[in-house]
Amino acid sequence: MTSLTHTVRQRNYFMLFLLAILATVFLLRVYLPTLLWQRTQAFVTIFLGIFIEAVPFLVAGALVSGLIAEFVSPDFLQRFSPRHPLSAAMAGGALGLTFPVCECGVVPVTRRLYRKGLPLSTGIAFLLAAPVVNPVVIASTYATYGWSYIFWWRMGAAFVIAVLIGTLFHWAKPDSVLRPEEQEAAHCACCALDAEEDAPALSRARRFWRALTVAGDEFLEMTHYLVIGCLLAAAMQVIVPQSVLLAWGQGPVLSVLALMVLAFVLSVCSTVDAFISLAFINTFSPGAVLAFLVFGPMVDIKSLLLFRQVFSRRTIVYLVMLPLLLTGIFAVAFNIVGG
Amino acid sequence: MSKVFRPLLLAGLAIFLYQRLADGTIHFYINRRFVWLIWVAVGALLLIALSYTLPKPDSDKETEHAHDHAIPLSWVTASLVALPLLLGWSIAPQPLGMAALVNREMSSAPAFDFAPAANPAQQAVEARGEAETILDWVMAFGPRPDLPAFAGQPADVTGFVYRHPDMPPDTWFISRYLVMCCVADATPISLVVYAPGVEVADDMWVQVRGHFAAETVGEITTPLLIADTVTPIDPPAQPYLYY
Repeated sequence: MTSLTHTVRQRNYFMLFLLAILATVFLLRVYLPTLLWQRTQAFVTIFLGIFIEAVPFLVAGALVSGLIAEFVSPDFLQRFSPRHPLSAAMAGGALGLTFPVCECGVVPVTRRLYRKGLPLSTGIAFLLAAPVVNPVVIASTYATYGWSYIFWWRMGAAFVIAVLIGTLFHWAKPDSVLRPEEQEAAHCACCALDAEEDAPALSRARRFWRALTVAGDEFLEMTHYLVIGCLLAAAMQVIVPQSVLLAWGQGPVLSVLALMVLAFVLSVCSTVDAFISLAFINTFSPGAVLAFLVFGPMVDIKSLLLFRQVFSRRTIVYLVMLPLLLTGIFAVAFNIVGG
Repeated sequence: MSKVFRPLLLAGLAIFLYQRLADGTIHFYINRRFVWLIWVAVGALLLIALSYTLPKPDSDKETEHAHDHAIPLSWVTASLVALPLLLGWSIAPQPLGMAALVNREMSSAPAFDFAPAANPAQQAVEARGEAETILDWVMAFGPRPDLPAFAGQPADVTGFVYRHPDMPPDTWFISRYLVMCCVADATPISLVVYAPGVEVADDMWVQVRGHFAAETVGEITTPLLIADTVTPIDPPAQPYLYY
């Protein structure tokens, strides 16, 4: 009875929300001055643009996650996970080479791998490296810059920074890094059922469909945070003039900071950020462009919100600050030594 | 909330994306090279939604193995997932226009290192089999245009109008957005048009036929498109330019 009341209340809240949004849109359309209404439309277009662009990658990540849940056993992962801290993190970075996922798709995959017992350090290195060193981004960076120094430094710096941060997490305790729900799932007996144990009971087709349901749950949970991230990113684009950031284009330090902030705000998919960085190549220092290409895929507004689904708040602070600091130091050093 | 909501939300999202694909307004949001990914996503979302409707095997019912520790679908999650659909369905799809220029850097010279073309109009027709765009001219001029080489060349471009308050009378920008990935990275590019006696309004889509001249303002010489004709047109199906 209580559960039924709860369900009805939840449904009513949902319906109220729908009505509130429709009423707000109607009132804005009627009462807002034309220019402000046009800016509202621009905000909605940018929000939907970022969201629509991210959906296929999030679907891909959720599907991979569902397939891992159904077909990859914890034993398999543990058998192939290196024991040495640095090796474990390097394995995570190298794993990124095989998954064609951007910063949206990598989060559900990482979460699923954690539930299957992946070591923390391996997962963190994978989470940070995969959006840069994956095959799609390698191809798009090559298409933009060829085998130039930008290409090699981007891949090398992202890999090294991801492995360093992953190694640091080797000494962290899982209960301080992951959300309690993730902890619970990782130790749940029924979720630890693996492919071999469950296989006789169900056909492959049946398990495939079950993987799709897991993917659907994963997608909906992640989309919750993706939408908030897209809203924030679109709002920042409408509120903060690009000229404020681009005015910092000069100087070895400020230019790096400016493009890292811009990468965070733009929240553009890592599969195409190389093309976008071309616009800065004649205006900003080379180190700043590299910082845009290394930091942006690791952390941006929408991925930050997706991290909330997996990690504790303190860990998220580390996952922002450590890439920011390491990428900043690398890029400024690149400007000073190389320039 | 009822388990029916999950497949409904997933199918709703698939239908929303399909509508954008079917009516072509998907081009208001993303670069055309990524449209195939949206088709794949629509298929995958429908398949995933379908998976919820299949009867569960007995083993799942016994062990609840498929529960996957999924957090029950709260009204907050359902609302946030539904938000893009609501906004998309309640506000008519609109490409970025003048209103989005406010916070963006407009360029009449590219930051990109393109090889300049001597005759952009002819090159566009030869390379793509279509009329030249603002981008062809902006690429041709480069950061430091050799304007005498372009003076008198005929041009035929389309774009939306932006009248800057500081511009002289009868002078305005004809603009398009250059999109690499999605509208988040849209960069406005523009040409300055001089069209004496022609009434235009901001955001109006026009086709301008004319020829180039060099205009010197202070110490800076910029290309100026002298309009022979200015024709109002409907916004094109693909309003942005792509690189």
